[in-house]
Amino acid sequence: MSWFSKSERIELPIFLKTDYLGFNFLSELHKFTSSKGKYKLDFQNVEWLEANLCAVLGAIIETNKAQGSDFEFINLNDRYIENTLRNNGFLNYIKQAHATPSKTHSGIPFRTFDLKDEEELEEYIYKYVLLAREVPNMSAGAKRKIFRSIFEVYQNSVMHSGANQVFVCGQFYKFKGRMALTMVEVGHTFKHNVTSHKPEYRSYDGVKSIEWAVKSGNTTKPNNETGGLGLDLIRSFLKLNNGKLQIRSADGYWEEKKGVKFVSSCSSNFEGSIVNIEFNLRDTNEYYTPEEIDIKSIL
Amino acid sequence: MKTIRVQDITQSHRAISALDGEVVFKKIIDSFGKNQPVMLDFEGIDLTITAFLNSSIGKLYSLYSSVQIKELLDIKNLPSEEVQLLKLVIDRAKERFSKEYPDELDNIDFVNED
Repeated sequence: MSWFSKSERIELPIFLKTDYLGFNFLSELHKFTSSKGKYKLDFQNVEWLEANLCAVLGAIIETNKAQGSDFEFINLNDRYIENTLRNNGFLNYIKQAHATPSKTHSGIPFRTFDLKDEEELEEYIYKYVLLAREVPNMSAGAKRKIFRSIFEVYQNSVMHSGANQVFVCGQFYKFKGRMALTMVEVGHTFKHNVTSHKPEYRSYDGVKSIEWAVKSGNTTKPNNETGGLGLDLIRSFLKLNNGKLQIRSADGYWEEKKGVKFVSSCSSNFEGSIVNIEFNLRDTNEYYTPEEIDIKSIL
Repeated sequence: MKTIRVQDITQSHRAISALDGEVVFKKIIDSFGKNQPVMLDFEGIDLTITAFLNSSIGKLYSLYSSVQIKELLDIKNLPSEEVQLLKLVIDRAKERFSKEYPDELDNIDFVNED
């Protein structure tokens, strides 16, 4: 199936979801709009757009604009879509105009962060995620693990992407009791990092590269450094939390939901990485620390 | 003993940056190089992540043995939840930087080069 014609007008699909198909569409869009043309993104048919995907749309627009492409956004008539994009600030971004969000909404704003400015992201996550009224009933242990998971992903971008910016957007899904946060950077892919790490990994495709990277203890860092724990810790937590982790990078798609994995090779490359984490906010686990440990004994 | 206050470096209640970890690492090895013990004080830090702990403490195991680190490093005021994470990081670092010997040492011919 092809979403694109030779026309510069690109119709967004009826449903744009955070899944294999959604990421495929967005990867194609990234590639198609990189040719320094003028593109009209047409929202006419869109009935459902998961707002956290604005992180990917923003990354596509920003990076291709920097290459000389130009974007116009048409037929943003649907009130639901218009409202969603207004509430997370994406409408301001694409229309370059001020649109005030509703007083009570469930969007986590679209933002672009300089990868060197870690404090800004820290404040953003604190303000819009941890202090959000949607997560009041979770234990301190669960909140700690959510916060840690987000920063482990962010630090992976800082250390491995070679990019300057990360695009972030999220959404609380009240009825499902879940929160999705998507982080995107256009830079080195998982495949690039893994295949260039050791000669024996040279033949790995996108899926195999992601599978290698999410395994405990595997890291592409230099020999005098340690790593390879962050993504595994996130996976362990998300299994207990009944959450979901999705990664789209190069030609690989990888997801783990409630501990069940699904992987697939994709026909198009995404020249960077999209990581989406979905947390279950109805998690009642306390996540106690089992015992006091004498620090000296672990050194 | 030299005290390094983590919060002075992170300027936050959280230690979540690999770059900040690198600063801590450099301060520690600077003291270790002078055989000066270090007290790493996490007072005011509520949350850490592996990226910080790897680059500040895990990396020490690439240069020093566990025995040397035990002798020269003390850590205080690290919340118990974070000690659990530090243990994972240190176990992983010890594994990564341990010397690898062949399984059947007895079958290896040693050449006396003297």
